[in-house]
Amino acid sequence: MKGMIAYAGMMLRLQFRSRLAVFYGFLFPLIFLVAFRILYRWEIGHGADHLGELLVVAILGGTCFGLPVTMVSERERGVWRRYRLLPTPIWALVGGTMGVRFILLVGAGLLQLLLAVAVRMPAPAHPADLTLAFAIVSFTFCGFGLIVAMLTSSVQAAQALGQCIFLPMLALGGIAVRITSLPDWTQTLAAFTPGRYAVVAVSAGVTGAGLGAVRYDLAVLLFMGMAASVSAAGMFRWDVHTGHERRSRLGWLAVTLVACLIVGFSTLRRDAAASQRQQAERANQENAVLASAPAPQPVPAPGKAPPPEEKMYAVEKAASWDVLTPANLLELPRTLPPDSGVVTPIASNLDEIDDDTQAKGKAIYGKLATWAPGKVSDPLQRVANLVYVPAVVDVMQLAPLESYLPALVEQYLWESSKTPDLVRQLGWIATHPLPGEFVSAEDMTALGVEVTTNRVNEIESRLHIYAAKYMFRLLDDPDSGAIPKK
Amino acid sequence: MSAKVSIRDLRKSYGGVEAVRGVSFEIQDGEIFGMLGPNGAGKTSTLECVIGLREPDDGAIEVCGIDARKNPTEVKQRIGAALQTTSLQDKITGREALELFGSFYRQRVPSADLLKRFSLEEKADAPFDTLSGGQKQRLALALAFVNNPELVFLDEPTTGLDPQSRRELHGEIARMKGDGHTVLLTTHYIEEAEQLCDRIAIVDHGRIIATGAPKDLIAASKLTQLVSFETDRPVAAAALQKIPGASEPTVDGVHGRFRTRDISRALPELIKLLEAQPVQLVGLVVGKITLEDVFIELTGSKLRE
Repeated sequence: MKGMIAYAGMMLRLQFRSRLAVFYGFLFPLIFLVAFRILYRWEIGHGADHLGELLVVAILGGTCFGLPVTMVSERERGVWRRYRLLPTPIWALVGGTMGVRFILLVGAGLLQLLLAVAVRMPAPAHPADLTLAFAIVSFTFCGFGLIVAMLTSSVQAAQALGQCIFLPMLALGGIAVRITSLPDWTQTLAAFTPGRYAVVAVSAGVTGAGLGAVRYDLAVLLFMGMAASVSAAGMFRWDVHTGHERRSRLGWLAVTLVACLIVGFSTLRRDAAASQRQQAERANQENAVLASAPAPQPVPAPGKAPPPEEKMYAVEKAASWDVLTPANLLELPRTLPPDSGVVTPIASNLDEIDDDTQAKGKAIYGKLATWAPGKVSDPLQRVANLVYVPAVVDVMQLAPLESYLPALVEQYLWESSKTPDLVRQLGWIATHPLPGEFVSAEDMTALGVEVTTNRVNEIESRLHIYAAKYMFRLLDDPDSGAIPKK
Repeated sequence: MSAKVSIRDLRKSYGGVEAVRGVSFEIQDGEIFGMLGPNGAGKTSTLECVIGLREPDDGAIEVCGIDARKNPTEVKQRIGAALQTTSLQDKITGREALELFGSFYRQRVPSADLLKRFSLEEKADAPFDTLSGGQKQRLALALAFVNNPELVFLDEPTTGLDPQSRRELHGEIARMKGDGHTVLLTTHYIEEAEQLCDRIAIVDHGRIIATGAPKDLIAASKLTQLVSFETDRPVAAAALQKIPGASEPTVDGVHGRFRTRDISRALPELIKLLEAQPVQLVGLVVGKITLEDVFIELTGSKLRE
C-alpha cells in the first residue's frame, strides 16, 4: 500500500513536469470551452446548457489521448519492464495509474467549472450528483483508453486510435452537436457509444433533474466501463514484444463490442417504446383540447334562418370580413388551447429558443416577404396562407420549431398588414371555412419546410385555432390598433 | 549447503523459436556466476525467466529456497536486478527513483547511501533523460540494490559503455562479491566473464555447453599450446619430432615452433634436445589458451560481437 501511494504521488508529480501533459490535460479542454462559446454565441443560459458536453470533452481528451499515449510511451521505452520487477501485483500499478488519471481529470473538470462560474454562469444545480456522474463517466472512458493502450504498440498508433474514438464520439455522440439536432441515423449510431449517455449523465448534474432521472444512462455507463475494463485486463501486456496472440486480443475486444451492441439495441428499443408512449399521450391531449376548441361554424345559406336553439355570433352571421367590428370579435368564446401546450403552441420567451431553432425559424421568416402564397392579391387568402404555415408545422410536430415559428409568423403578419383589417380577417378565418385552396407542398418547400403529412383536416383545424389566437392577441394589446382609440 | 539458485530443465519458446532448451544450473551462495554466449544464445531469456519477467514454458526455478514460479512476489522481495537497458520516466530524478522503488520493499537501503556508493551524488536531482549512458547504468545498479538483496541479477551490464565506464562497473561488480552478494551476470564479453566470474556457463543456441571456473574450463580443454623458441644455430625439424607429444613442428632458420598438450613434459625434453645438439636457447615463448579458444572449441564458432 505504501508503495502504491508513493507510486501514485510520484506519477502525479511527473505529470506536472511535462509541458505536453499539462497542455493536453488542462489547457486543451479549455479550447473547447472557448470554441463552444463562439459557436453558440454564449449567453449565460446557453452556456449552462453546454457545460455537460464540455466536461465530457475534458474527460474524453484525458482518457482517449492522455492516458493511452502516456502508457504506450512508457511501455515502448521499457519503463514498465523495470517496474515489473517490483514485488507488487500488476493491478496495483495499473490502479495507481488510473487513480492519477482520475485526479487529473477532476482537476481539469474543476478548472472548466471555475472558469465557467467566473464568467457568470450558474453553478451546477446538483454538485454531489455531478461529482458521481463525473466519476462514472471517467471510469467508463478510462476503460476505453486502456483498450487503446493495450491494442497499440507505439505512440503514433495510440494517437491515431485515440482519434478514431475521440472524433466520432465528438461529432456523432451528442457531444459537439446536440443529439436532437443530428439526423436520425446518427442518433441511432450514438445509442451504441458511451458519449451520448455521458452527456446525459453529466448534464443531469449540471442543469438537469439530478441523477435520479438518468439511472438508465448511469447503468449503461457502468456496464460499458466494466466491459472495457475486462477487455483491457485480458489484453494487458508489459512490453512491446510480448503480448497476446491477435486472435486472443480480438476475443477480448469482442467483450466490449458485444456490450456496446447490447446497450445500443436496448436503448433503441427503449426509445421506441418511449416515443410510442409520448405519441399516445400527445394524441390524447390533442383530442381533449380539440374537443373543447371552438368549431368553425359554416355560414348559413342566404335566406335560411339558423336553428333557433343554436346561438350564432355576429361574426358567423356577417356577409364578409370587412363588415366585422371589434365588438363582434370580442364576443367570441376564448376556449382555446394554451400557448404553452402541445396543440397550437406559441413561444412566449423567444430568447430561450436555442440558436439552431432560431436560425431555422428566421430563415423561414426571411422568405415570407417573397413567398408567392403570401403575396396573393386577395387579402383574406393571403392571411389564411400565412397562418397555414404554423398550422402545418404544428401538425408535423417539428419541435421546437412548432412553438417558435407561430410567433414569427404572427410578428410578420403584424408588420405586413394593416391591423384593423388583419384582426377582422383573422376573425373571419377562425370562424369560417378556408377560402381558396390549401397551400401546396411545393410552396411549403420553397419556405424550407418539407411537408410529410396529409392530415388535411387537422391542419385546417389548427389553422382556425391559430387565427383565433392571433386575433385575440391583437384585440388584447391596447397598442395594436385593433380597437380604435376613442 | 543448498544452492542460492537452482534451475532445472528450464524451457522457453517465442512462437516457433525455442530460446531456452532445457537449461539447468545452480549458483552457490556468495559466488559470481556468469552466463557467457553470443547474442541470441538464450542468456537474457533465461535470466528473465528466473527473475519473473517472463513465464517459462517448463522447468523448475528455486531462488533463495523459494519456488519462484509459485511465489514470484516473495522472490522479488529478496532479489535485485539490473536489466540490459533500464528506462524510467524522463523527468524522474535518481533520488526520487530510489525513494520510490525502496518504498515497495520490506527492507530498504537509504537512497543517500546508494547515491554515494554508485557515484551519483552530483546527479541525484537531475532528470533521468539528462543522465549519460554510464550514469543511467549506475542508477540501474543502485536500483538493483535498493532492497539490499541476497541475490543480484545483471543482464549485460556493460553493453554500450565506454571503456572507462566499463572498468568502473567491473570494480563495482567485484565489490558486490566482497560485500557477500551472490551475482548472476550475463555477458558476451569473454574478458569480462574471465575477470569477474567465479564460474561460467557457456550458452549457445539455448543450451548450456559447459559449466565451470574459467581456469578449469581452460584446463579441461583439449586444445594444444604453441611453443615458440629461438636458438643460436638452426635446429633440424626432425629432431623436434622426438619430443613426446609434440605436433606440427616447424623450423625456420634459428626459429622453431611446435604444439603440445603437455607443456610440463615437453619443455624439459626440448631443453634436453637442444643441449644434445649442442644448441643454445636464445628465447622461449609458450602460448596461453584463452577462454575464447575454449569457447570456439566448444561451440564451433567465434563469439559474435
